[in-house]
Amino acid sequence: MDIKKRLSDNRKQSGISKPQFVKSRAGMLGAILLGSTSLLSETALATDWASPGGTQDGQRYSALNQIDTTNVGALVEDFSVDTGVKGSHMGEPLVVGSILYAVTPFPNKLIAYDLANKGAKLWTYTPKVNKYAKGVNCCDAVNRGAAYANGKIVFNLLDNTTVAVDAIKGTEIWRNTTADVHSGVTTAGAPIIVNGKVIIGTVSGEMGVRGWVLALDLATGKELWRGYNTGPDKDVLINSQTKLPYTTAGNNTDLGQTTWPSNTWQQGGSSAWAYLTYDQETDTVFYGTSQPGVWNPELRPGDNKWGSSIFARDPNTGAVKWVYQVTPHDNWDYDATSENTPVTLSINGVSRKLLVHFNKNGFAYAFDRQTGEIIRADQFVTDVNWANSINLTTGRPLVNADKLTHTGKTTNDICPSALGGKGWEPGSFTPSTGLFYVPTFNLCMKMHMLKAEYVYGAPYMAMDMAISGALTDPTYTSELIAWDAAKGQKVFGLKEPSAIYGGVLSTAGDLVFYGTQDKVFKVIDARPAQAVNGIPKVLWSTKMECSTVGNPITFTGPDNKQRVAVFSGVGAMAGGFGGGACTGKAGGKVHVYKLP
Amino acid sequence: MRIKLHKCNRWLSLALLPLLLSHSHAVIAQQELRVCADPDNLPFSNRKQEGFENKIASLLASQLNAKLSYIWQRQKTGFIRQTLGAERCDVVMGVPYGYERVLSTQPYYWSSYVFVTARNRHLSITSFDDPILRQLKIGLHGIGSDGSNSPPASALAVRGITGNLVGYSMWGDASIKNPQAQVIEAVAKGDIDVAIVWGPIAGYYAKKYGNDLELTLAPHDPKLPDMPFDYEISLGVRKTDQAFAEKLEKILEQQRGKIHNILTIYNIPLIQPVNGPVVSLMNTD
Repeated sequence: MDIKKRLSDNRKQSGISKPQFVKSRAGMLGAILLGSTSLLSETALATDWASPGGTQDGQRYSALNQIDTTNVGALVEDFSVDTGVKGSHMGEPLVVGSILYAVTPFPNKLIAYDLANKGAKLWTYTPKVNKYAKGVNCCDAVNRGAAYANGKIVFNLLDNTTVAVDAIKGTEIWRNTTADVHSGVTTAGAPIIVNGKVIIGTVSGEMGVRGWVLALDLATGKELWRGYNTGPDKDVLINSQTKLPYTTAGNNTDLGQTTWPSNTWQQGGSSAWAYLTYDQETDTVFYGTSQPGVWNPELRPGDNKWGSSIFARDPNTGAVKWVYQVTPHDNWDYDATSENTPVTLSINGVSRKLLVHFNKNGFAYAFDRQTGEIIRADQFVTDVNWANSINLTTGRPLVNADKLTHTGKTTNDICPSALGGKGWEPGSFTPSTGLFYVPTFNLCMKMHMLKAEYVYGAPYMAMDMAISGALTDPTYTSELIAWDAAKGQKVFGLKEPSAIYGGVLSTAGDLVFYGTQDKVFKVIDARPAQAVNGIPKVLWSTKMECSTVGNPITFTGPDNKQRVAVFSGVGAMAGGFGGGACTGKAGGKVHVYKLP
Repeated sequence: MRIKLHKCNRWLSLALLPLLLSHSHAVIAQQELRVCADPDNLPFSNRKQEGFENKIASLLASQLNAKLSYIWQRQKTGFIRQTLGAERCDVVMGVPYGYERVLSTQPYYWSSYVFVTARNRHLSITSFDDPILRQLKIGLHGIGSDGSNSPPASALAVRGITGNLVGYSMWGDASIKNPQAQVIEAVAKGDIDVAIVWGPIAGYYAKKYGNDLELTLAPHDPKLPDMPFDYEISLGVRKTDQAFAEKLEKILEQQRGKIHNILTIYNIPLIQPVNGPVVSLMNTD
């Protein structure tokens, strides 16, 4: 059987027969398939969900189509499993073969559930985690998921340790601690595995750290390269081949250092805590950085590169292929941590290799993914007033000076809010409709200073940020929009009074799955032709015991039947603006749905 | 050195707090005093209970006839919500008086941001408008998340004094024993000319340099009328624990002398209220 060929075809096929596991007498799963790791080496089968975004490109699209618009209304819960850990269950479970894997919030257990046996627990890997990390991040200590390759489940512990766990036995293969948790760095993002390398980024932008991404050898865990997001070019891994669009040649050396006063770039924040994506065609890893830190904007005059920027790196060396700063001198915590999705779309009859990014600042960017040139930048939420537009010649936003923030002053009605027009919650892309399905926030904010806070033993005057309903229509919090990235237009949208604080899943059954903070998990019809007055049809919904802040996935079970799964479980932070914190006595859950 | 300070509306804000009573926590607290504290944050607290807040907590526990226990948690954003808010403990040892997320007791000490300079430099900075600040290398702690800064950082920002700042982290690798001390050491070594640091940190880490370092109050900034540089520090309890707060206040009052002794041992610069007009004395010894 030619697995490689099947892998490359997996987008077009469905109902692929599933590799089977058999149980050994000891009750441990013996691997028929996983043992021969080459078969599953880099890419997942379409029937699995083996990387955070489903596929390396992070489109969160599955070619599975057993569940479709005609039968989804009959969807029922197959089973649910408990994780035993409370708090926000972000990210997504993985499915490889007949095992479903869940990484919990701190203490970051990895639990394997047997899909052949209604989710019976096979084993739990409980890592050693530095207790200090709990203190640093404690109760909202989320984890945004794991990645699978070569028989290993790889994920980050909160204390900056990356672990690789044997996918069958649940034993630790290697661990590598890449930053000292005392320095305020924590890792909660999901890794991506590319060309035998595990690529991860830092989390904390708020603790005065300097963000980076690095690659570990999948086989050994050894660090291969590390690229900082601020500082001189040699640290950022910018070289003579790097494209720096919208900067002036000859005057663009060490911008990660020279766009900051003094040495403030050393505590320049700009971490990479959300999802990384990979484009196989150009062999490039993409990610965005968070806002520059730790000083307030008036203390760091300058662009503060490469905060709030999008990086394209060579996964083999870490070298920067191109980098573009989305929001220079970020005043509003807009950052650029939302995912970057490679897609190829036709614009004015010309096929373009795009990278599409929905920024918190309210603009949807379509870049040429080989150069970083902006092809389009269009407003995708109703209220955007911090900037009037993005100038495609200079690459800079036309900032509305009224909406800048100042020490000691209040700036009212800034839109979007710091939660973003879209936040870290990943959207999806459906090839057949050519549309992105994007969870958006319809919120504005006011920012002012002068509120006494006391952190780490020193009082300071905190910025007070009040998030409120949008100016135009405050009756809804979120909207799931379908977006045509080639035309820069919204095609349809479903307004949600309750926030969408989790990701989106697209399937070849023309379905789009997502949850809202009123405990509802639902499906809409992806097809624009089926939308009425710009509103898509809701085809199915269910009420869970608790809302989801995770990302739905789909896979086929050992019975070759398609399933959909999603975490539930909300901790204090997410619950604070949603429906309140809730997890059952047995912790968060993974809900698994199927057709009857 | 006598310095005039603005008036503090200390009575006003307490009177405005809601008088919600909860008996359960107060009862628990009688048997056990559960303190939430940072595990690694001298001079305030650490896991070995070597900080002045630890010493004062012991004093409170003995006066309450209660067993002292700790929940250790890094004191960063979300601390109150995850500690008092989650009912994992009953008291936090240091919050600014009137801090809106808690019910704060009457303050038990009063300190200020200070300028730290080498005495032999004779810089004697008394104002943020002193032109010499534009020529000096100034060390500051980076504290807040984006948009949040220490009062001295804000005072420098409004004057556009940004090019000569040297940022010091409050956090560091485990190899660095006391990351907060680095900014003080830098003054002693001459790496920077002046540090502007929260008083308790400055006093404690400057102690070993004796007379070589000079601490002076960072003055109130007329350009930032709503931004205090001095803070009265209180115990913080849940807003519903009014009776418990009153009990603690009574002990703070009774033990004022002992508390003052503890603070003095740690070389905390104290602004001492005197009778009559609000005029205070700064003790840097």
